[in-house]
Amino acid sequence: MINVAGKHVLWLAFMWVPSVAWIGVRAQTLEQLQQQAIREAVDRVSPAVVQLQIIGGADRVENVDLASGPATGLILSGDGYVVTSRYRFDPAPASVVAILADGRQFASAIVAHDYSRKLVLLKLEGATDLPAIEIAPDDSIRVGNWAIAVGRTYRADRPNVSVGVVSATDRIFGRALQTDAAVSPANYGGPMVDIQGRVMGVLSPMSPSSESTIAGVDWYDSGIGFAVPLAGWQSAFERLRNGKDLERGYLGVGLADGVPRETTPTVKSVLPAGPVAQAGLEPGDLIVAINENAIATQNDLKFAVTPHYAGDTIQVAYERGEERHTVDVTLTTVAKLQEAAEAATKQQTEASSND
Amino acid sequence: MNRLQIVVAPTVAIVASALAPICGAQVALVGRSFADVNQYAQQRSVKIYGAGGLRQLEAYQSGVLVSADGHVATMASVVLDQDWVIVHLSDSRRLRGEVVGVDPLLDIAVVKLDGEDAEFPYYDLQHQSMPYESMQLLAFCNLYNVATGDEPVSVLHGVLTAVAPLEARRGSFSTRYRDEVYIVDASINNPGAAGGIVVDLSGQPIGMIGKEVRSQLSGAWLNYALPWDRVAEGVDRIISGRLGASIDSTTDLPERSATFASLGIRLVPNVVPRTPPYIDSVLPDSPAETAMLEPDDLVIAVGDMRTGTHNDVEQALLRTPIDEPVRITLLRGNRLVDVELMPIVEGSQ
Amino acid sequence: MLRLLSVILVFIGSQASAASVAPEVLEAEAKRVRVIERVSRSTIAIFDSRGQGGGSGVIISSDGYALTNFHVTAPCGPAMRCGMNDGRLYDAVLVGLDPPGDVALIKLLGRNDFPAAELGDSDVVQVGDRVLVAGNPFLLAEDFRPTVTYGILSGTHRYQYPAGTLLEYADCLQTDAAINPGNSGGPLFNAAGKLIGINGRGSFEKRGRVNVGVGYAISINQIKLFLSHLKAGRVVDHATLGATVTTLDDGRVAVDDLLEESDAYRRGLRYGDYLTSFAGRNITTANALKNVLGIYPAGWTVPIEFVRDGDVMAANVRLASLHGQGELESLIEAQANKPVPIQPPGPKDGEDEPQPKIPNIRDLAAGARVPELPEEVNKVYQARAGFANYYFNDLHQQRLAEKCPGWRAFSADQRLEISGVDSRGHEVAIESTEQMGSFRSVRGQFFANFSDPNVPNDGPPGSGGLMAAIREWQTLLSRGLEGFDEAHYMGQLPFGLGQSRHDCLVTIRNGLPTYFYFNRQTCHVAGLEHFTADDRDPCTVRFSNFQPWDSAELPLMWVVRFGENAYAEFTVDHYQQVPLEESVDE
Repeated sequence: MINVAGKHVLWLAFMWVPSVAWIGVRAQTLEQLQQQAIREAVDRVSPAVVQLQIIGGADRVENVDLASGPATGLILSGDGYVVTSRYRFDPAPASVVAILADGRQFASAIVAHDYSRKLVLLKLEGATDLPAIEIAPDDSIRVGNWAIAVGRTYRADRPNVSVGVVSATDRIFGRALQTDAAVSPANYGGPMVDIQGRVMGVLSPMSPSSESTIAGVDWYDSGIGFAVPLAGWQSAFERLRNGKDLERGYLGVGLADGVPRETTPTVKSVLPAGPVAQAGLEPGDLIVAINENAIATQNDLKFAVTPHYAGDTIQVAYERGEERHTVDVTLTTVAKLQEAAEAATKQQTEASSND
Repeated sequence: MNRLQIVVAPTVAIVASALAPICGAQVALVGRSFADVNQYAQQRSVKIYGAGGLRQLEAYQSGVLVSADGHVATMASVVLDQDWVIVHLSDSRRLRGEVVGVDPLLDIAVVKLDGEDAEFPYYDLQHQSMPYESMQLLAFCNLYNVATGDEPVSVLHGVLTAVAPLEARRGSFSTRYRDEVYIVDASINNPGAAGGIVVDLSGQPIGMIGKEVRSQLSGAWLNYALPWDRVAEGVDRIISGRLGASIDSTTDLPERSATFASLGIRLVPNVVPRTPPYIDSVLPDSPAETAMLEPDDLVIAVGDMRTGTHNDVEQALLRTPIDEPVRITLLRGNRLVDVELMPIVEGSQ
Repeated sequence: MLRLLSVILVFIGSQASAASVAPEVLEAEAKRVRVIERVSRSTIAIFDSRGQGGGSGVIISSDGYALTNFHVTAPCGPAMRCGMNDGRLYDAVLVGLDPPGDVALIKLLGRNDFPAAELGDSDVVQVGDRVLVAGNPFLLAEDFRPTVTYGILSGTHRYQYPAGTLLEYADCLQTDAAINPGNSGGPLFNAAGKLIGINGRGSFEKRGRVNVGVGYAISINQIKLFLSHLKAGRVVDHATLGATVTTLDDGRVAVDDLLEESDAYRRGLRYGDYLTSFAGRNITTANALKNVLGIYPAGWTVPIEFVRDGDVMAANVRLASLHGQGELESLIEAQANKPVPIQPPGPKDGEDEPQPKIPNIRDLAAGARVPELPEEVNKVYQARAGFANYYFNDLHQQRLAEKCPGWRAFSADQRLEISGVDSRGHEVAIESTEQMGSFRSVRGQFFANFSDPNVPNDGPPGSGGLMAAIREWQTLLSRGLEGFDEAHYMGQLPFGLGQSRHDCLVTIRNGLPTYFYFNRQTCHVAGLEHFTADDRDPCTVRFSNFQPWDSAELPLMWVVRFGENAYAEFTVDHYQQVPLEESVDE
């Protein structure tokens, strides 16, 4: 069998020593410099990319088969917090063991889920002195930047790598970066890093047409991949660390019929006792701003609200006739909306049967 | 151990780079432009059409020249089910190619072009590469038969994703190869791409594009190449005849030849000209059962005769006396197994 | 040595030191980001007027012309909505269609400062060139900011067979940059951000409708040949040579079938000839001919070379329409009825927010929207059989009428008299009215009577119908387009000695077409071709040396040809118009 570790040492020698010898003799080509930069970026993040041996949980959801092999996670803190994609955690597996690049192994506990961004936070039991990552600042992420996707599923001792560019930002209503690097079960849960090895996001299947855990898996390796940006996710991380699950936040409002990208966010109905109802909005009101950012269409409204979690309070400005009002609205979960909807339906039915 | 390699390797590297420009046919392409690399690779890439003809669906695949005499390495597949194929070269030549043999360990096949005294450009089978994750790669292959005649084959770019055993990629596949492959992040394993080549940015061979396979568990299509040193190994086994010599049809036949029945073997039905000689069943209380032969064993050689097909096994048995022990080489999983069977002559008991 | 040491440290797993990416790498990345910012501004997301369906497109001029695929606009009808990366939506109108080539030209409305992509040259691109794809795959861009993917050119001059006779991708570009459903109609840029193609197809067979590394783009150079025809509001057809070829085992390409009524036949091409060159390209395979034939609109004239008995022969051949009259219309209709839904694969959620199933207190829902043309679109749309949008054809007819220096030079109720001398000093005299004509030269004097519309006039003998041609010219320059049964602007076609491109106006009277060629700069009528039968060469007249005459400008130099033969060449001494009464006894 080929000794791959040995091969790598050999390669390094090839790569570096001649370049020392040739300094001043011949410049490296851009391709060679890019190759070197990509490789170093992988090396920088690689120690924080762990293999997760998952036993139990989802092997098959609906009609979609999920891989039963190892998955990838990303170390977020020296004291053992690891983030990964939820695509293998619905339902929760019986056991998760994390294997580090250096061979250390840790049993892992599920701390909390971020259902909106399809991430799960794990804690490695008894881990200390874990390698750290650097997070790419939000304003450094531009469409066209190198996007290097790193996983650790093929083998525990080596990362697996695919390379592309950032294809778009603010996808899936403000919750994901998009990349054309190959993204698949081989790197879901792993980081997408920039050319400096800084983490831009955590790779995860995503789809604009479904919040389901596995939605987006069909796009594996197709040039359409997503990563949840970590810049700005710090407060969510704090909440998850305290064991609080996070869900997408909803307003409890029905909007006027029409194509969302072309239609004004005029309130058609409010869910009784739902968030906007409690804040005093009524049918006919026109929502004009969220957190002081003006909005014109139903799509704008969705972009403004969707990144927030249930329990978040946002400021909603609306117009009723000539008057403009501003209220605070605390978003709720989809389950609570459903409960309220059912209760209202029941009440309505009872009321009409009493007639 | 690692330390030692570090000290030694640079010397090798420098010597290799210094020697490269004077090595004639196999000039190293380090620092060459893409156009040079493209031309180099195109000249060595071929399009292979099965004898069924160009119109037959997917009766095409890719291949690469690996000798000046016109040996083409490719993947074993139904395209090669006939004994000969039509091969299109980048210079618009269309040559007949004979299927020399198939290496059952790697599923690699070699086709020899009818080139008379022609000298072909080729990839050096001895080339050693040291791929690493994120290494930038180019793939040359005739996926979807996009290119015909002298049109250049398609070029795709990507990086090496991982060096990993094919079996580690969850589940089982329609290929028996289970050793390490180079997983890449480009969509290279498409219809018609098998037998194409993956090179580094200097144009040197890294691996051969394998057959289309997908994980039975996740259903995901895989993109991978067989390491070039393994390809070289397989080609060498085929050309050197280390898996046995080809059957000499001029030899005299023994008075009484061994038969399938005398050994207790039944092969899978012989449906195409190059049906691989898999054992279908082993008869009870037969020499084959005694020697613990199993269904799905592949008969690689009988005596010193290489058996690539069902027909080969028949021919080899014809040339094997029934009253002597018969040595058979089998491929079981990815292991070679040698067995000796004493045929049972009918009526002798 | 220091470097070597650090490598070992990295290998054994210690924390890497601060990144020091080479400045060249960062600069190259920053440059790519800048190019993408620029090209994203001209990339558009296209929806039908009800906001459904979808595809991509690219703006190519500041007044809003944009390219996309025919198969994207087919289900939209004449109006669509286009989203730009600034988040704004614009109305757009269909302008022109090239159904066989899968190209549509649309025009965004409401601005004159649209950010336009710069057209590149797709004939100089090479395999391996870095390319960018922008567009709206799977309609992911709810904010209209395009998805950008990066790859290389995997092949050039590719041929992809049509589906039936539509959507043929000839001489196209192949890329491994991800192209997915929804990318259709969007731009393929080179690394400098110049437009080199319109993405439209991919080999998706393997995984259903998901990219597997093989996408195809219509080359921008092909579209450049079609652009003036598309801007004419036309449904543009592709061309046929009227001959088919086969690749022989010896690598030659031989004519194996030929229509006797084709121009190729009239120019001397025969069964069994070896075709060696077409439109300046070497022909080495039958596919090579399909490739180059596929980039020209019907009506184009191209040089060909062929070999017979070792002799090399050359000719200019006019390419005929691939489809019969009315055939494209029915194909367009069929395409309109099979819109391809572009949905992300995998599970789909129902209602975005659960709604209470109770009667609404105040239901504000407006009535269902009637899909009628938006007012802005209605102003610039005119339906007519054979045209994508006749409004734009009309614009070009008016443009030529306004700019042509000879327009209305003559009066319809006067006889035109022209006298001149040919190159040998012999006198030439022409008289022409709506009813009759005469031509006198060293060959004799010939008369034509136009009173019976069912009798085509192809005299004088050997001219292919010069007197009729003169009458058409006279009509154009006296009564304008009203003087004909039908007229439309064709687009630009090569004409004349240098085969330079001219604006071509086609008139029809009594079923016989005349092609008028206008110089693109001066707008002079630089020549005309008058056809007296479908399967016959036209009478060709080329004009030059324009001089002032009254308030107009008229040509002093006339060259008349019929097929391969020069019929007459003369210099005009003077033009004169005589009231009809004075010439009764002539």
